[in-house]
Amino acid sequence: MSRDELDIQYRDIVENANSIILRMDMNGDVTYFNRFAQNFFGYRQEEILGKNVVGTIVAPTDSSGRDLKAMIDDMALHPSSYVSNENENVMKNGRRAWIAWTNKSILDEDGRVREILCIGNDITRLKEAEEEIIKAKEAAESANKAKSSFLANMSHELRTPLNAIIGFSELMKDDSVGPLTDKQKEYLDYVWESGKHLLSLINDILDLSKVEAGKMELELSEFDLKELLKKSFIFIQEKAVKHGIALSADIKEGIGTVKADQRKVKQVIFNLLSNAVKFTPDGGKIGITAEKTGKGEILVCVSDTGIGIEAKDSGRVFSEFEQIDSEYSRKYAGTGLGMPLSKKFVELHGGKMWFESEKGKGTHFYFTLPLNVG
Amino acid sequence: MADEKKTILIIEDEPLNMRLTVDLLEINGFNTLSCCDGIAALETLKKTIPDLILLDINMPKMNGYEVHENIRKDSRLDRVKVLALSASVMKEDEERIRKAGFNDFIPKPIDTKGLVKKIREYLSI
Ligand SMILES: Nc1ncnc2c1ncn2[C@@H]1O[C@H](COP(=O)(O)OP(=O)(O)OP(=O)(O)O)[C@@H](O)[C@H]1O
Ligand SMILES: [Mg+2]
Repeated sequence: MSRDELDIQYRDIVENANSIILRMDMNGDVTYFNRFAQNFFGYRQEEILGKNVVGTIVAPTDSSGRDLKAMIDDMALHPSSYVSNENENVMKNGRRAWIAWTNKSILDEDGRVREILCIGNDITRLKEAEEEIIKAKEAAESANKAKSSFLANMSHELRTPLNAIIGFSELMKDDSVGPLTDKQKEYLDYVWESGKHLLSLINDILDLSKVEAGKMELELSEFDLKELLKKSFIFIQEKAVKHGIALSADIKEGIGTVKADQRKVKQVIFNLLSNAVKFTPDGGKIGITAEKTGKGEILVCVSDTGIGIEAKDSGRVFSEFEQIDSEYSRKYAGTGLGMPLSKKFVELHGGKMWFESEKGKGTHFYFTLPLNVG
Repeated sequence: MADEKKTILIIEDEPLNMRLTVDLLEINGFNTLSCCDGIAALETLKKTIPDLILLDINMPKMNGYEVHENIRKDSRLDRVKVLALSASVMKEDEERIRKAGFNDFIPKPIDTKGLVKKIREYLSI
């Protein structure tokens, strides 16, 4: 191909490219404007050549008030800062569009910048979508804030009557205001237990919403895990004795001081043990074991010889407010928040939680705690 | 002196919560003084110096923080421990209470036995 033929071919490429291609001098006056640009902006070649970009395809300020004239002036002074640049442009008919530009300096023989070659693509729809996302995000954030403050208020409002319900029950329970009949004592226990249940429910909901908002922080401290595990049976001792359930613990050597969030670890173990007594018929067994694994973590297992969990229901154990409907579970108060929260607490520590179960035989719940949290 | 009854000032706007704390402490051998708002409490404190103060945080007219600030300005009350009682139990609430310099924070609902034990500890009895 001859030199001329090549020139024609290149010109054709530039003229017909599906991109805006223009050149401007250091004043911002247009020196070249390809066909796509003419169609896009609605200017004929003779209308725009020699005209300044500001006042034609660039409005002095964009719709957010950004000073575009200053930007074009700055571009002539510091072309290297504008190698790629996004800004709003305006068409002859006044419609605005967002264009992503790549700008290249064109040098003369002395190496001075003479002109700038600008290639642009319409990104208006992308920008609009981006704005939608930002708006949606802001709306979600403000909804989240409203939810947090609603929960804080709810928690406060519910605690005030609960203070009377739990407190007066405790005063009466101790016989400090006179002896009660067995029946009265029994009923009072129900009132007190229900009050306590409601309180733990409020706490669980607050915790869960904090975890979901990504606001739950671990309060790390060093404590003796062995002691905590050994003492954990206190939580369920009374019920276990009442139902003839045997408790056994096997804490292996080397389980000692760990660095973790003590309150949360305690709550996980409490939740596991309270499920174990809840779902184990009279005369069963509950065990707790702990050992170090080779992977720098501690493995804790709470096992029971209870009703077990069918494979088809296993997905529901860690879902919020889900309880597996069985003749058994209906007899017991519960909300279905214990396990999802426990799993989240364990995961916040970088551990895992899972279970193995056989219907009618019993269940083993496991969780791991890394030795070095944080 | 040793078996003289100690006096606890309870500042609380909610009548049932007030009744509960008063009865709990009376049953456990304390004298109680009760005020249903901060202004009344500061008046009472001009005339009497209790052995310990239980102060609710969320109250109309004057909240617990303001009442506490006023108490701490009064050097006659230097030795009187002030425990905050509040149903606002978020971490931020507790931090604010600790920062304000209360001697302790008791979340509501109160643990009745725990509260009595704590008060005895603060009074060294
Ligand atoms: N050890 C277990 N044996 C048999 N089923 C269990 C056991 N632990 C949990 N489940 C099943 O998983 C469900 C969810 O447990 P989770 O602890 O989240 O809720 P809950 O105990 O019913 O209520 P909550 O703990 O909120 O008071 C239970 O309702 C029960 O159906
Ligand atoms: Mg449970």
